[in-house]
Amino acid sequence: MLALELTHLTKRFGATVAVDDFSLSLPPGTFLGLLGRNGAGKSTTLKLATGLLQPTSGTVKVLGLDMAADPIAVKRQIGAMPEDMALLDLLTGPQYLRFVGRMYGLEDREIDRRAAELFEKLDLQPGPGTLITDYSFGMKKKISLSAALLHGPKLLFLDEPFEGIDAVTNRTIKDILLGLQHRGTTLVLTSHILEVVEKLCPLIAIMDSGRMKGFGPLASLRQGDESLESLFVDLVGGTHTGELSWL
Amino acid sequence: MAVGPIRGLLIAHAQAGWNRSAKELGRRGRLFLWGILILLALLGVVPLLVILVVAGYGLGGTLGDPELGPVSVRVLGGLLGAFALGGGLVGGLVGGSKQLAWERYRGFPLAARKLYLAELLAGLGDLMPLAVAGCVTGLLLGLAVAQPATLPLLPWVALLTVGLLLSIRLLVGSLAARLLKRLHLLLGLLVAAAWVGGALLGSSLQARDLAAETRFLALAQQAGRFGQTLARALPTTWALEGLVAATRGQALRALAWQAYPLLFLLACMALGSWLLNREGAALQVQPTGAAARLWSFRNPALGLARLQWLTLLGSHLGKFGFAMPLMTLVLIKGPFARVGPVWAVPGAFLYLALVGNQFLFNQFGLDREGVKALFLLPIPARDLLRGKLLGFAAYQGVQVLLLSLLLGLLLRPSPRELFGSLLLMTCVFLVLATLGQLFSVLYPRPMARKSLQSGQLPLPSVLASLGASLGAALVFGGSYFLLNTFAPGWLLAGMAALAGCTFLGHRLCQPTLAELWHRRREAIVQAVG
Repeated sequence: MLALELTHLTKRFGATVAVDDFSLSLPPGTFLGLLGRNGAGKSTTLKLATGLLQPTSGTVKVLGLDMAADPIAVKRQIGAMPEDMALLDLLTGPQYLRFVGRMYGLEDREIDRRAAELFEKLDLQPGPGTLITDYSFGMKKKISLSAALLHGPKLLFLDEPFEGIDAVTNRTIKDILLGLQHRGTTLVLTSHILEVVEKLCPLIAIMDSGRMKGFGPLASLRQGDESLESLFVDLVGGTHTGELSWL
Repeated sequence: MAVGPIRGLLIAHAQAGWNRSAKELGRRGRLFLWGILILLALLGVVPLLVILVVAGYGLGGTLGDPELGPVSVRVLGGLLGAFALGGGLVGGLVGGSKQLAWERYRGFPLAARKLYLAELLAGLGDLMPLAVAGCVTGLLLGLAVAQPATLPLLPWVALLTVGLLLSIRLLVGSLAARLLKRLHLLLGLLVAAAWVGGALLGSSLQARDLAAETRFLALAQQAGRFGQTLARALPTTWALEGLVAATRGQALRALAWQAYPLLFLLACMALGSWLLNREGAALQVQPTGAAARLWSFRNPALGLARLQWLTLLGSHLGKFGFAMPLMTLVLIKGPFARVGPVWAVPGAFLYLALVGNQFLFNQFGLDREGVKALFLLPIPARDLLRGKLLGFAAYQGVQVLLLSLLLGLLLRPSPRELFGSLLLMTCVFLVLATLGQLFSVLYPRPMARKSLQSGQLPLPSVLASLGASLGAALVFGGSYFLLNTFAPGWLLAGMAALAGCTFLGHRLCQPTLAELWHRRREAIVQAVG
């Protein structure tokens, strides 16, 4: 059974086609790096795959479950860390994790145990009573990741998880993600930091203008010892020079 | 045992509200506010509750009476119906829509109906449903004392009334938000409504011009008959008919009367749940071409005024504001119909000035993250505040134009009445805008751009805006009254002098406000950005 199956997915906003006939199949335990320029449709694809948006056409299946037919069952299987993090920022970190755990039907004692472990592993030590709105950007990323991991999802979507994160936390998150992959969790990650994707993700998908431009193991996409950056620029067609006329 | 999702949502909602008040007001501020609220409750709510209990007892006592019973049922049913349907309609239109952050919850494995039920329950924390719930409880308590046989059904009647209020409020709020996405349609409907209203009012005025008191009475009787028919059709009246059956010991009949109210409530809930659930897909913000020419560098304040204008137009609440002139006219027309345009016109302008408080007392609310950009601009704080004021003035100016047009069509005021009222509104606007800038700096709070939810002002700002509105209405409305009664020839000059003084007062306050704004930068960014 496939962990994720997107079939001819299309999403239109008025006249704009954000995702255009996009198909993707991932077996369990895959770690996919989804790349693309700004506005390529990566975040929209993730929102479609997590049920935050409804596709104009096409289907989303997670572990054999159809998102359109049973979104609740699908959402129980997945964890998501959206780009805007979508936190309830007037709660404290522990209050927020309690809320998230309750939504997934976890008991309070179990939520507290998992939250304590996540806080320790991610070195998240907010002051007592500090609201999420007062957290630093990096801390917000960590609490968002904690919320995505709390219920032990089988499929994890991460939209730009390494943006605004310090080097130490960066390493911790990488270790956590690789550990999850080894235990059979399927991961889909978007990032603009190509080095991170190159190191973490054995499988790459490159999007442009809502369409798939390249998909497969990194080694098979590359020609010779071509870097991921060259491959990416070749596929999405970046040709502008870096000079400014007035400088 | 795990906590259920509805309870989990409500706990998180209550925690967020509590945390926010602690953050904005501090511990002492919160205690102070609780003190004020308890005082207000003791002075206002308790006497009202006693009156309602007595009224409920009085009406309830006549329920079994063959002559007075049907009248009491219709009066009580109409009253409860007005609470439920009227409250829901007004609440939905003035923005008391969603309490919960639906967008944030969509990623969780939550059934839409559970989210909707949590939303209904969370709505009880809002001021109006809370007040209505109190009033209904008072009335029904009195009724229970008068007719103990109705006691088993009374919790249902209370639940029905409050449930209808909450579900209709959400339904209307959602529909109004949809309508606002199509501004052209809204304006078209406004013009149509103004035309129909004008035609109706014109015929009623014509009837009075003929001085035919009998025709007026006939009209009133016709309206009364319509009211009675309407009262009979209300679900709350049907629920009360069931109570009458209960007083006669007809249990099955009493239950049968509840079928229609139950179906009505369920239909409202089902439709509301469906509409709110569908809103999610339409949340993606569409880029518009309106921001292409945003700045006018001829003068920074004018550029900022333009930005404020576009910000207001880009929000649902701002768009909804253009419906206010028509609503003002409808609300003012009744109470002032008999005294003519002399008082109806200033009343309308005064009301229009007061309904802008949600913006004036939270002037950075709609800027949200953009407030950081404002702080980065190489512009003095005074220019920024002036730009904000000009933006709001332009916005209210368009509302004034619409209202003047409608008043001109329907009431035909004299130029003296019209310009005198405009000056009255200018005075009130300047006072509210100045005080609003102070409270916007002290208690900033983000406002939803794509929602009609306006009940988000912090409590100190709510109390200040109410106090300032009342004070300004008394002082300037009183001045207008005195001038118009004792020296009508001096009305325009007097009101112009008052407007000049108010403007001077505003200018004198500006350096202090600018200084305060400068000192509170960090807090504003943290709260709004």
